[in-house]
Amino acid sequence: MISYLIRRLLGTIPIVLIVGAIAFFLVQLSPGDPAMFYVSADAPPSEIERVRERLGLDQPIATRFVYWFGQVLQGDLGVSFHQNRPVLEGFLAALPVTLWLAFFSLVIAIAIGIPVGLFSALRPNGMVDKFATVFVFVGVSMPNFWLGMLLVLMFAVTLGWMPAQGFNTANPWEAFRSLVLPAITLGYSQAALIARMTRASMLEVMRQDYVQTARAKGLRVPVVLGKHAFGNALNPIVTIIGLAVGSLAAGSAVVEVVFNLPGIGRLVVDSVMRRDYPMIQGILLLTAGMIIVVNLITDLLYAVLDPRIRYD
Amino acid sequence: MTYSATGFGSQDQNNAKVLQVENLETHFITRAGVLKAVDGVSFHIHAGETVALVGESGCGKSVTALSLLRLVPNPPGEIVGGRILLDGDDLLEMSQSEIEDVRGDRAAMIFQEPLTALNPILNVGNQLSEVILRHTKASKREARALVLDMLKRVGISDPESRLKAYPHQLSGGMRQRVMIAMALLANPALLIADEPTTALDVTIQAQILELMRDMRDQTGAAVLMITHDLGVVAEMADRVIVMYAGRIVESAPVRTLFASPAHPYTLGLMRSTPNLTTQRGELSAIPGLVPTLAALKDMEGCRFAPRCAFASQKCREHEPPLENASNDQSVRCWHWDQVLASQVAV
Ligand SMILES: Nc1ncnc2c1ncn2[C@@H]1O[C@H](COP(=O)(O)OP(=O)(O)O)[C@@H](O)[C@H]1O
Ligand code: SF4
Ligand SMILES: [Mg+2]
Repeated sequence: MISYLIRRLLGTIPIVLIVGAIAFFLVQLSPGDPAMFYVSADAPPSEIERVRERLGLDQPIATRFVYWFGQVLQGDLGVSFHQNRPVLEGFLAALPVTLWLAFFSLVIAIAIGIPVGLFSALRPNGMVDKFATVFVFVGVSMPNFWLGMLLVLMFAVTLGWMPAQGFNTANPWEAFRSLVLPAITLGYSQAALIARMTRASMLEVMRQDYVQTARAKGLRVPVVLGKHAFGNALNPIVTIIGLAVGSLAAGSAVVEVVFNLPGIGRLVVDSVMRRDYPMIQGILLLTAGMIIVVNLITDLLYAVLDPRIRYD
Repeated sequence: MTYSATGFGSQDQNNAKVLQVENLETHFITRAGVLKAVDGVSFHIHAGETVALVGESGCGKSVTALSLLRLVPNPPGEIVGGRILLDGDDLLEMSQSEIEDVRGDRAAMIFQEPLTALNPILNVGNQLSEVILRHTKASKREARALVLDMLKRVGISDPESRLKAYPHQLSGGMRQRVMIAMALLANPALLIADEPTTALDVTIQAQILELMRDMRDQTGAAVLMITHDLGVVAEMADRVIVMYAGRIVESAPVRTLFASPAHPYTLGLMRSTPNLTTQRGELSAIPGLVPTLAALKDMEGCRFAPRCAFASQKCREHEPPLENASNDQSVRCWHWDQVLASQVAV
């Protein structure tokens, strides 16, 4: 197990580096000159040239890549054009908001998705299942930003229960309130996916012989379902939750912009707007690394949940 | 000629009937219509007696067994009629909670495929002690002791360490021993075994059969043994019930049945048996196939007629009733006397 873990962790390094290289070229080859963002509109060409030199953009792209890559290998992600501070600092400053947002979204997605899936599997085509079908359909087809705006309209504008936008850091309670609507926005579609997978997985497992054995032993229905069926249904559900983490990372960009939250998602969007190359590259690299770690955790969970799966 | 049928079989004729099934009807409601998988089946089993239920694949043996514990998947399955008396209590009248109390306690079941019948993610100790914890007031420690004792009784060596094993870590024979232990833990009055040896290697089959026989003798349980292996029947059973397409077509003490089968279908089964190549396969050396349940809906006459060498016009028009060929042999055939006579001639 330990040696497997070490091998997997070592294996992630080349993946992260390849992601880094792709990120670099995608960003740097996209049209637009960053220097233009850091000079006044009527600046003379000499002024622009000076800024380009300062940003290192006067070098050929190959030179820039080798230099950047060398720095990355030493753990240095460079300095943000816009923030004038190390990329890592800027990233870490924005990270907590996004992590909290992702955490609450995931809690909502799991706390709603699994029960909805479970209960709709109990009676396929029953009342709960029909309701759940609509819930899932709406969840997977409604765009995040639209749900976000609906929620704001209802709970912030009309009812005034929640802040419409921004991240209020006055105290933890206000900070939490700032994240409620964004977390629901982000969590709902994931809840729908988890519900769908839970239902399918439970229906599959409930047909298995060992569930019949559990019933034949006289076990009560909640024990048959909870202990014998659900335990076996968990594997694909864990897969979906692992994927949900990736989707949350992507979805947070939209939601953070809609709700004006100072997280990684907004930082990406802002950095793209400002052609802040080092920042974009750094975020892509770090996010990729985090998602790879989540995948690794997912894989390890499989072995925890099912004694037949062994890594060695 | 031995069809006078002196019963060697039911050694416990005077014992109380542990199980009495009357006119059991289990239907599957499907898009193709209503399939009568079990169509008016009646039989009984005394304490200490083993009754074998035989017939080709798909004839309704498993559905009969599952019906006894009300385990038929619903939907699509439904028990639509009959009575199932376990020591006089009608299981079909019971509430959900009451039947759950019976399952695993007064009546237990052993399934065909021990690998899939055991939960892959729970260890053996957990799955076994669960039965005791559910049906008795024993503590976890007491349950563990009972489980260890039972594992020893079913011939599992080093039971302490097996408790922590998962099903995939055990051999096929070992798994079936665990299933048997599981079924016997609560000391059931009725033990239902649905093809308990079919999925096992031949050498292991013999060991498991021997174990089942020992356990039956020790516990005095009534046993319903489902099989399509007449070798198993010969070794285990006191009486035999032959099913065809959802109906009982013949029922007799085991010796009577082997010596003088009165139904053409039973006769066919006998003739197809002692043959190494078909020994582990299905009983289908009789020409033709079991009619699908869907096809039976429009069938007027005897269900076996399309495959029967004795069939007459009457057979194709009217279904025969189950009648006594002798005092302990009943048969569903218009021409059972001819069937018996044909064997005398040989
Ligand atoms: N879940 C089900 N849905 C529909 N029909 C079923 C189902 N289970 C069994 N049947 C029907 O019941 C018949 C008897 O099946 P079964 O009792 O399993 O046969 P066997 O004698 O081989 O154990 C089958 O022919 C099949 O048509
Ligand atoms: S009733 Fe007729 S068709 Fe049916 S088994 Fe007897 S002889 Fe054959
Ligand atoms: Mg069967």
